[in-house]
Amino acid sequence: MSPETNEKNGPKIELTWQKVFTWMLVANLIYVLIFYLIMKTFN
Amino acid sequence: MQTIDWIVLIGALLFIVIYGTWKTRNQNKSVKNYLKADDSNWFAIGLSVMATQASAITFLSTPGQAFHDGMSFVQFYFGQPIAIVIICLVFIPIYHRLNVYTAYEYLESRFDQKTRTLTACLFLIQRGLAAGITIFAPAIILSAVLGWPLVWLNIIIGVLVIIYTVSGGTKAVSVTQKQQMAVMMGGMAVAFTILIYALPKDINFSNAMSIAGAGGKLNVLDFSFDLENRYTFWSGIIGGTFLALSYFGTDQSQVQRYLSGKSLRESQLGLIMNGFLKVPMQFFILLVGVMVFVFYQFNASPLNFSPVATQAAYESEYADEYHKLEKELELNFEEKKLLAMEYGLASENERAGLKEQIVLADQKEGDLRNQGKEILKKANDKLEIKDRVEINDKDYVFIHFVLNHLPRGIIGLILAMALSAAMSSTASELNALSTTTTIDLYKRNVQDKSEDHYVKMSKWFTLLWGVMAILFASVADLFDNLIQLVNIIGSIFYGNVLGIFLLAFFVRFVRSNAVFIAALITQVVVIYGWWVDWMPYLWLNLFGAVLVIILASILQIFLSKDSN
Repeated sequence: MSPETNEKNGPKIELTWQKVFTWMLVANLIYVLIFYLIMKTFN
Repeated sequence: MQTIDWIVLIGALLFIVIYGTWKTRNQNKSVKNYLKADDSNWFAIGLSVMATQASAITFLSTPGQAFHDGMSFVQFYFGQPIAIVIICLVFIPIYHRLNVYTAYEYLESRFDQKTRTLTACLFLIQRGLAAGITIFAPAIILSAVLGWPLVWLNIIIGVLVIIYTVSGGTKAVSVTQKQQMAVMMGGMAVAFTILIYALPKDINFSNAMSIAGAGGKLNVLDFSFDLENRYTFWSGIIGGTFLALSYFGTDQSQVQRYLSGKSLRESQLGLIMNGFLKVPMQFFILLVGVMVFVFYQFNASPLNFSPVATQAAYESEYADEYHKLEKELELNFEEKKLLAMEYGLASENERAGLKEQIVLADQKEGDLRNQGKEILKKANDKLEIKDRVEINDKDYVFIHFVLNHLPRGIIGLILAMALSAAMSSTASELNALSTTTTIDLYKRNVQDKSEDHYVKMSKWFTLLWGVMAILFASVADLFDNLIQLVNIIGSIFYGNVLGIFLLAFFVRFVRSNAVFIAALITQVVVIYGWWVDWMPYLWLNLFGAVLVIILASILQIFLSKDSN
């Protein structure tokens, strides 16, 4: 995929497979970790 | 309902409709302007995607689900971010490069017109029926608890949506969804805050979470491989990815939302925003349900939260039996209330013994509720099919709390939230149905007309689909278990459509004739499989997708040999 960098508006982020996948993975691992901690703390 | 509630409710809904209509009054200049409106930024797209996915049932039913079964439902959404990565990096770049209005348009450039038409028709059947249910599902709940006439509720929701969707097209849908999302999330945040403050003085949020934990409501994650258990980490990752891929990648009601982006990147970022926020949003809605559970540890609750079901039990020959169960529930509640208070304030060491007692009291409450449902089943069996009542009360838990325990004005806000959610989903559906009918069927076959003509036809199609949705919602009550029927219809068509798209994107050697024949055979086989009950209907999705891919690949090999 060719990144678009000439936009005047909007954030200047180049999207690549690696970046999007990593963001999603990290965010969702954090969610799962939070859920796990909630279970451990309050159960 | 007090005057202030009516003012908040009518004010919020009218503001959204009038603002949406006024703001998009000049969107009629061209088909592109009216149906695509591709000038949205990523934030508007993200909100629009989320508002389309969140129907009234999301806000009315999900808290009830947490109340009864805990928070494990959130795992159902774990696959969504994975699907979104695939859609952002494979589907959206192709849709943008070809500058399509609908997902099905792409199928003509990859295969041929007949495959495009077939897929568009499958979408129209499935989504046309679902649009009626999007209106009917909240209308039946609200009419049961508020006593409003069901048909009028269907008409009001439908007409409000038709006004701004016909007037401003895609842009009106997107503009109003910003306000609707604000009302939805604002309503949930207010309900959550009031719930925390409505707990006894000594019970803070942390104590409340401990009480919910003791009641088994915080088992968010389940890593078991139990196929009987619908919501596990693995079913969420595998089944959730598959379903989200179908919904976000091939369903025009979602595809149209992100195609309104002003650039490829804005579309991708808008969808990615949903990938980040969907799980926390669903977690929050479930958390509201868990707090409703904690609230009802300190406040009496009915044996069945549905007023219609309760009334049916009172009027049946089993009324005495039902009243006896209600008395037992009351006694159990008094006992549980003391235990919950003690548990909330106890130290870590003291909690172990108390927890066992809470679990026992919870089990007893669950048994009593189930016995109540058994009585309702017996009462139902003696009634005509059309007079039978819904026994499962999860849809009524949250609205019961809202109507009986929230202050004036806030009730109006929560009702505005439910109706906004219904309107936002319906608007996207009507918009997508109209766009598919105009672009894939009408404009494709009736060419050489003016822009103005196609815009006018799009408006007529939006109106037509809107009227059909209202009509369908109005007769829906006559059918037994209609929501399940619509889900079954979805499962019958969804898998086949996803399979066709996966072939288009990933199996390069397959050509149009092979796909078209495979899709027709698959559809017949899937319908037959459902008819003879081969598998639970949710699995028909996966079955349809896999079958069309395998059949098309095999057919292509044979067709290629023939042509050689």
